[in-house]
Amino acid sequence: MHHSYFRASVDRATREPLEYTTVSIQETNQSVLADSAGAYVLEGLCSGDYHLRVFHLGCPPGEYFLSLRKDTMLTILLDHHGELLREVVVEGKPNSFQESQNQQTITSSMIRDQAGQSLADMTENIAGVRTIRNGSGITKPVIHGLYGNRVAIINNGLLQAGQQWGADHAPEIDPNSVTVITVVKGSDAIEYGSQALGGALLVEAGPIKRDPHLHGTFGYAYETNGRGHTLTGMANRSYKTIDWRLTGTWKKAGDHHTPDYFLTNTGASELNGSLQLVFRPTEKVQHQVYYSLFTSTLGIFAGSHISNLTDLEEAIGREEPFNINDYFSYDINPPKQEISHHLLKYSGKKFVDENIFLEWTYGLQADHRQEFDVRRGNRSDIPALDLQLWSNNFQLKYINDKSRVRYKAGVQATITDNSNDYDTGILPLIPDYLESVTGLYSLFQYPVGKLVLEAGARYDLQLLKAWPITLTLPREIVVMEHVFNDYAFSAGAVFKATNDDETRLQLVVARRSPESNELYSNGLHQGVAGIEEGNWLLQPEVSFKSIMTQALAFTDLLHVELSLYSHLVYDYIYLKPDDELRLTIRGAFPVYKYTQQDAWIRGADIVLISDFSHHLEWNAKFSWVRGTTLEDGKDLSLMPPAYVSSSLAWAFHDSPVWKGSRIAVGAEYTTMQEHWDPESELLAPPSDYFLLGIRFNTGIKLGSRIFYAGIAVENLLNIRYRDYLNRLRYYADEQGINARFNLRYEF
Amino acid sequence: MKSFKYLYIPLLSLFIALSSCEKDPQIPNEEELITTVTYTLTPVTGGDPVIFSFRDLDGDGGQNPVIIEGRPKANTVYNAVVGLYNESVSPVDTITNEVSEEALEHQFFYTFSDMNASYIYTDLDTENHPIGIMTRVTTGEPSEGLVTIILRHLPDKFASGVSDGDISNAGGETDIEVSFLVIIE
Repeated sequence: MHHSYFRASVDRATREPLEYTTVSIQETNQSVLADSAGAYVLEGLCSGDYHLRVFHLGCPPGEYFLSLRKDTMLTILLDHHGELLREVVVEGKPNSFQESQNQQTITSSMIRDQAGQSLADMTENIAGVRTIRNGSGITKPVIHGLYGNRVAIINNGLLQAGQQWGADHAPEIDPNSVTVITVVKGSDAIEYGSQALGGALLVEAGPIKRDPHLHGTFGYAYETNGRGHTLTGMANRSYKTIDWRLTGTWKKAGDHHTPDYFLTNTGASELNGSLQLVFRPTEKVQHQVYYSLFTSTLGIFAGSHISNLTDLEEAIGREEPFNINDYFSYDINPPKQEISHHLLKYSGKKFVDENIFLEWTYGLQADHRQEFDVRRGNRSDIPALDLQLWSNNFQLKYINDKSRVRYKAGVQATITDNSNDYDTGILPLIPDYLESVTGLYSLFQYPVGKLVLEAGARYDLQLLKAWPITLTLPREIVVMEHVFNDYAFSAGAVFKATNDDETRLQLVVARRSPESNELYSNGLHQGVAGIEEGNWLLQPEVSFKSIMTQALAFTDLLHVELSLYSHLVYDYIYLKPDDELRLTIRGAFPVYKYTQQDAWIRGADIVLISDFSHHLEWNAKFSWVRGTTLEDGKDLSLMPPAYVSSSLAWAFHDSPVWKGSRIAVGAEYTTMQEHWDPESELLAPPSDYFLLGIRFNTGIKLGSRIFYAGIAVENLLNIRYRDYLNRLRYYADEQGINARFNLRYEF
Repeated sequence: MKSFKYLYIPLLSLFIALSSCEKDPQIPNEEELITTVTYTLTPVTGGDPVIFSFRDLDGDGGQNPVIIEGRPKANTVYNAVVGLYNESVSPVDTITNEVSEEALEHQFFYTFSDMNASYIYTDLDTENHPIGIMTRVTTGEPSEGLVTIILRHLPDKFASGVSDGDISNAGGETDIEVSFLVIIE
């Protein structure tokens, strides 16, 4: 018997993916559900003959015969009405252009099973991605040890224009409005700009299925910890030349709970929606309008509300934090954040040929962030920080996937306008500024046999004009102008010996210019009792990142993916603590100044997957990253500690009622961050911890309807622990046991 | 591909246009700022007051604060008053008024270290807890030490020891923390 693997996607006659098709193999009783992109994978099959049965709700089942001899990619063209069913077997050629990139995807079904969680939390499923957080509600992805200004978040093709610099500013994106989340770990600065120096997070609403009937989902999720309710809804429909999709999310959560006490004021509420319209006047032209609104109110843990170093030291030593209540509440009081983010996008696509097209895009984003503090004299209702950011983006992209050398080229221009509301009565943390970035890029891929070579280049001209306010008296507004030239070059190679044996190498040189917060930020960071100061003399940092990824299958049982990376950043911009404390009227504060020094970040990610049988699957992930300065070898702060996670899953046989039932037990061990610099940390990193979780998902078929239900329990053992990447680690434990229920109806 | 060149020209001009763009930022009115703390000890029997002050007119950062320290007399009882001011606005704003208006939410704490002095609160809020704007300080034999004045916003005034001036269970947020060198003569 020869192990084989086959992968397929289900398309309709229109070649658009058809969501949630079930493909089952009669011989093995194996059955998989395709994701929203219509893709599914059946692994671990032996060579042989198989009868496939394809289900799609509302369609008569289609039956196929497949003679499997080697790894095969199968595209099934399925007509929703069932009149036309035919089969096409496509050999080999993958859909190019993502090939040598290091990227992983979270699919629609995973997003829906985790309804209620934040976007960043979902990305943690991927090896090498962690989150930094401020309590339980505010999370931000960390890719290979980098975050914030060094991770580009691409929201439907546009660089997310919010206040990304803040460690406590979560991305303003509703995961329910997207169908695909992709994490790009290779520093793909080429297409996404200099902010992608450390990686990129791509979120896409995805194509609307070409289905003439009204379809959609209604979902409800409940979390016991924080008593969080999430309602999600999605509907879409396709007509001859117009498709539409509407999504909406409502979320309300209250105070979370550690094993011992309530984390008072850690509630959150969200109200989000999106509308996507696609016009197809002809087969070769497509226009798309997309609008999304994200609004949220996030409470900041009351016990972290301290103001100076003495308060912090006092808070650190306490058994239980200050300012906590012994009861649950949904109330969100200052300190809190109120955010709204609008995104409006128009894009058009003209196909010259099947795999050759020109795409033009205009995007407008408006981001409003208000941060409230506990203030004297009834001022708590006046935000302490009130930033309004407008961003205009123009893009033009040309893709030729057909020629011998595949290429992609584009121009991009972005104008950002950031304004402070001066009614805050407080000197702004970052100044008003205008910024324009104009860039040109091109990427080439050249397949030679089993090898694909890749090269790319990018150039950006960046102009920043800022209006900071002097710290000395009399207060004055200064006008500052900066011109930066950023560039990036990449080279890569993929060698695919067999489907299981693939080697990827990528080298990227990228230059990132300092952002306005690094140049001009000035002020006190409340929760961490430190004064942060920008440095307007900063120069761009230049990074050299190399990644090597090797995929292997040792036996039929074990698939291994090993990824090693080394990231040298010359003139790395970071916050360095000053030698002396600064005396203010509120006591003494440590001062952190933006400084530049050469740094080296290196790490490894390992993923192991094993299918013991059709029912039993095991996987394990391991990540390690280390960051030091080159000159004096000091440890960089906020580098995720090494961790290992593993899960064992059992898939049940389908019955007439129960479909796709699956139970998984997961364990995660996070080590203590041993590598830390006592000069830049106020407190030693917390000790290691072990977490256990369990998850059960199933589909319940009642008549012609299917309901999806799931239960996931996190921190099953109700462990007391603290997370090095959580800003609240000084004050409180992480949340204790949490059960998450979710129920979904798809029509 | 040729068309890119032509498209780049308007984008470039857009970029140039930006450099002539203006914004009209304003300087916020820092009405909440506390620039000055004074601590005035007046002998109960009358006489010249002893004055301590901490002034940082430009707030955190900028210029260093200016500190003036006085020398109280040994074995004397003083009426002590703390004053908070915002001298960055004109006219000068007396923040102590704001604190007494929100007396339930505020309390001053004093620590005298390495010297012979003690204090008692002489003012109360509407729930009969001390505010600490006014205190009575009694000095002992000549000595030298530090007085630290802390104003807590939203302390737990009911917590044990807090009404007696013990800050350790108070919680809340520090609005003021200044220390003066005191030489008791």
